[in-house]
Amino acid sequence: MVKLNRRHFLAGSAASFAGATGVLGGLGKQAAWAADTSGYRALVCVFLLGGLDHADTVLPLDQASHDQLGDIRPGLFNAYNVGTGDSSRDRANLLELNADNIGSFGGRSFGLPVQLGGLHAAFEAGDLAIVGNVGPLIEPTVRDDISANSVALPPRLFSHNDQQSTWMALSTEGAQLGWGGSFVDAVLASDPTANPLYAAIATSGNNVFLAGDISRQFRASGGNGFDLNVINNRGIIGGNNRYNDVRERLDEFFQRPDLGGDNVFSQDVARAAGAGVTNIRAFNDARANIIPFSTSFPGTNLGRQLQTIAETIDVRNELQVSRQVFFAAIGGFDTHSNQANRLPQLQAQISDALAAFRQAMIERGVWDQVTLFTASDFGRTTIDNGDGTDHGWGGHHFVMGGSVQGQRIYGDLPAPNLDLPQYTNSRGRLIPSVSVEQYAATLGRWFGLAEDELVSALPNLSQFAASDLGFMGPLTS
Amino acid sequence: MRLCVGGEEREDRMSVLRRIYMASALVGASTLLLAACSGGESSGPAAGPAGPDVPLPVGGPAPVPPAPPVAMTALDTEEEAARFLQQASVGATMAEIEDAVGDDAEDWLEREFDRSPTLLLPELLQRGANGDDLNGRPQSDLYWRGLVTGEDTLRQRMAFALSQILVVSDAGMNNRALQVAHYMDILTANAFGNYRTLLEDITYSPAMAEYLTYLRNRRGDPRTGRMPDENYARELLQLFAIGLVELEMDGTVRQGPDGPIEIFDNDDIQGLARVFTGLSLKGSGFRDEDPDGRYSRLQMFDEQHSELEKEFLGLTIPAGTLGDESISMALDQIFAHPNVAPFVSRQLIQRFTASNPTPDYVERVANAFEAGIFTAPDGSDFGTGERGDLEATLAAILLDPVVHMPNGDLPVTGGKVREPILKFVSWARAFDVSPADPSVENRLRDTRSPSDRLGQHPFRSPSVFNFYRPGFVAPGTQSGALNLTAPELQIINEGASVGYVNFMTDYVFDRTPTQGGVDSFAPDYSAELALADDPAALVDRLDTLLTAGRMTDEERMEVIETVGMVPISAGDPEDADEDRLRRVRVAVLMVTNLPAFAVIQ
Repeated sequence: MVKLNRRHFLAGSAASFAGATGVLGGLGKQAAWAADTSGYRALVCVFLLGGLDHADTVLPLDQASHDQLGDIRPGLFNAYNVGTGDSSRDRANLLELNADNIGSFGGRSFGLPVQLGGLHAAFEAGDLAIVGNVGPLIEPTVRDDISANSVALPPRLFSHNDQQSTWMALSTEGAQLGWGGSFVDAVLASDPTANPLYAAIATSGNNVFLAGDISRQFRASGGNGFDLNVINNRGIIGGNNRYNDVRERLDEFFQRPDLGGDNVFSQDVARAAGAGVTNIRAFNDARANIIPFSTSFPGTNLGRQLQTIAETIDVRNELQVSRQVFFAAIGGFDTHSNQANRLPQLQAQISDALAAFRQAMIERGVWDQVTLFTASDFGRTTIDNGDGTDHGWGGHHFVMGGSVQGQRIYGDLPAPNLDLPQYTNSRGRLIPSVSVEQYAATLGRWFGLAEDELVSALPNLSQFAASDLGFMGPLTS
Repeated sequence: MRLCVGGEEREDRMSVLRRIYMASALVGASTLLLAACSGGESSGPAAGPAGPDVPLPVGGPAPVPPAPPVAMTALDTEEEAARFLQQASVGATMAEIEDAVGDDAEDWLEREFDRSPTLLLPELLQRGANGDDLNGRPQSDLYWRGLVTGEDTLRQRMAFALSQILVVSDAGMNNRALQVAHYMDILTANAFGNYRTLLEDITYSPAMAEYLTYLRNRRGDPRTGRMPDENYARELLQLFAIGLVELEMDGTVRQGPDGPIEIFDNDDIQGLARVFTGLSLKGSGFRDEDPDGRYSRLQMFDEQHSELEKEFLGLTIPAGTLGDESISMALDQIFAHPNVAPFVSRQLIQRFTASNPTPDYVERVANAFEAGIFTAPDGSDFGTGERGDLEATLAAILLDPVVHMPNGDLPVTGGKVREPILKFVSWARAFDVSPADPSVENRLRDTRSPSDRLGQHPFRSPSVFNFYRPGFVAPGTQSGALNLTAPELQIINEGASVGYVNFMTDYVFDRTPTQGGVDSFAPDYSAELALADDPAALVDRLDTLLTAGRMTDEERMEVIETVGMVPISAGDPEDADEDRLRRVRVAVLMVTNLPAFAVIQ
């Protein structure tokens, strides 16, 4: 139907390469061809907007710890009807995590709620790791350090937008460079043949995570590719060939990135509009090569996003990329109230979507080359507010992929004892045991970044003894 | 060519004012304006800031305090009138543009401030009384209709702006039409009122209480350890009133010895969270609501209100203070914070005139917010004199010199990226669509489809953080490289590009579905059709109507040449008329996709 596409793809790609170089003006050159770009690797960030309640996600399974948590959040346990035997939060209904390193938790054990059954299966199969108590840190921090004012703390803790930005870009709102974008910059600098247009792909709204100096964020949509209706649907202007000239001219008009006069904002708008049309056509062209998966994805928001990502990975050769960073996101995790109804539904959505994604990647034989990880604004208060929880700091996360050293728990899962130094003085907020930058570095090293590139992308990494948490396997360099 | 001096009788006053303005030694954009003015009646190229008869500020022992710059607010031409209406209204027809010519902007504002508000709750209640089904989100249809047809155009614009600061989203509120309409009406009714009143009215609104989860929020329970919900306490401070860090009056972040100064910590939040306990729907009990509870002011139930001391932002509300009294004291304390004026003013400017307002512009507006009164260039006063007066604030935004510069002198970093909603509504108003019945418009009932979406829905942002953030700087753009904020670019980006074209195509070409034989949102192109044989004349008209004379030569030629490629049939007159309609539609679609339409200035 859209026979112009091949031409657009070529023209668009060439123009965009040149454009990227022009905008760059030398930025990124310091990366100096270091990153390993052999083979194919993809990182997939699944951002849980609003702040996932970690304590209602990885639950204590042993009787003593479970009781302790119930004592700290009686309102929430009550809302879940814990103790009736029918509750998804009852010990008997939790799915036990048979972690290889469970022995290092002093007899404590952990379980996932049944809504996370897909993640539990991946964990038991060795494809999924839990990284406990991750969050933004400037330097290693415990409670006494905070009381004594002896450590630098990340600014704007507990604020949604700022902590989202900090997770994605290591500084508060207004950040310009995300670590996903920095990773892409590094591999693009090493591989001049890679297409910068499709190395950083979001299936949700615009985000700073994928913002880089070279890399440009592409917003991917699934389903049947769409294009300019006024051009493709000849009936809109008129089916007669006498309107072909105007159609052709109009088609060129909508791709022009150069209108807008002198005003800076006008120029930005013009460039986005023009590039948007050009890029989506090339993407549609590539998508024409997708071979349908036999795995079926759930029709949920996250299910559709991960399907689009799986399909995009499937056409990586057509898109001319050897490294890709993806960003998917769903909201709803800010469970100040009604948590017992809302969170289990969201967890089921995560579990079903991630399970389908895993299955699809295994089906295509690329599972070893793909690593998915979760992120969120923050964890939440261990002490409840009746039927919900409030903003916290550290939280637990999942990393899943064929190369993940799974069925293990990394970081820490502090016991539900608010006297422990891992909790703040008020309301039992977790002080992170490992920093976002350690988490990111472990992923980045696997992705192919050299050590100096990791240090450049993650400014506080050197403050921490371990720059690798180990969940992507032993260090190779 | 627009000259700096509006009319001969004003010349003396204006030339004096120009000297005052010049002496204030404003830089950048303001200097550009002055450069153009300094040559008096000359319409030649700007000569630079050192015009022949202008006293330059020279280094002296005492710096001259900046004098307030003066706006030249006469709307002498159609372009000037159109430009002002783009900034102040939700859209205008050619007749409305022509009506405004010859006015001062002050006159126009005074008329608008007097208009009565388009309120939605009374109509919905009437519909309910008539037995109509109020399930779903019928309030959203009425809100769209108000945007497209309401006579209170400035008020519509202001209420929409406020809805992006005091955010409630109906995304999670199905079948809550009355509750959401009640909230919409609060913003509309208070659009020209006082910000302190607004804070109180939203605090007591069922919609906000449900949205930010303090509806039936109970006091803490030492036995179980339960603590009050902190959600509203945090977002009220961070998003609705003061932000996170101390600001200068010009909206820039105040720098302390260790950088920005955070205003509150979590102890403040916990203290303030106690204030917002005990509120429930109006009724006979905490869980027994009256039939009109969802659209009435919330009621305090003191037995559920925290009796503890409440300490935050330097205020201690004594233990045992009752609920309503606690809220009143808390709002007074928050509202008294010096951040409120610059915090609110900068965001309001972003909604009307500038995505990245200069600090001096912010300060001028914040001063009006503080003083509660604004003296316009023509000497008339706006506002009551009470701090937080929104009429004064709005007049300061819309009568500022940066809003009334001649077209040729507009700074390249000025102006505002228009919200998608305003782009669409300005098209709908320009062509007087009728009947404007959003209830049959699928594309207005759900604006999310990536393939043909507008991508923005009134009162339906993804979170309390609005569609975009006031501090958003778009990565990988020229404005981003200059570190300019451009909130709207968070949703107007490459990924949204095709969806917007397709959305506008459906409306411009009148392809939206008809229902019951009624073609809703049909545009009136009759004046344009009369010009279709002359593409240049057609585009000139659209340049005034849609882009306020700001089309570049290149944009203008692009549209003229493309439109001219639609051949007018030489045979059947009916065919020829259809070709004329094609020309008009192609022209309108192109103009509504021009950068000059997307950015107002």
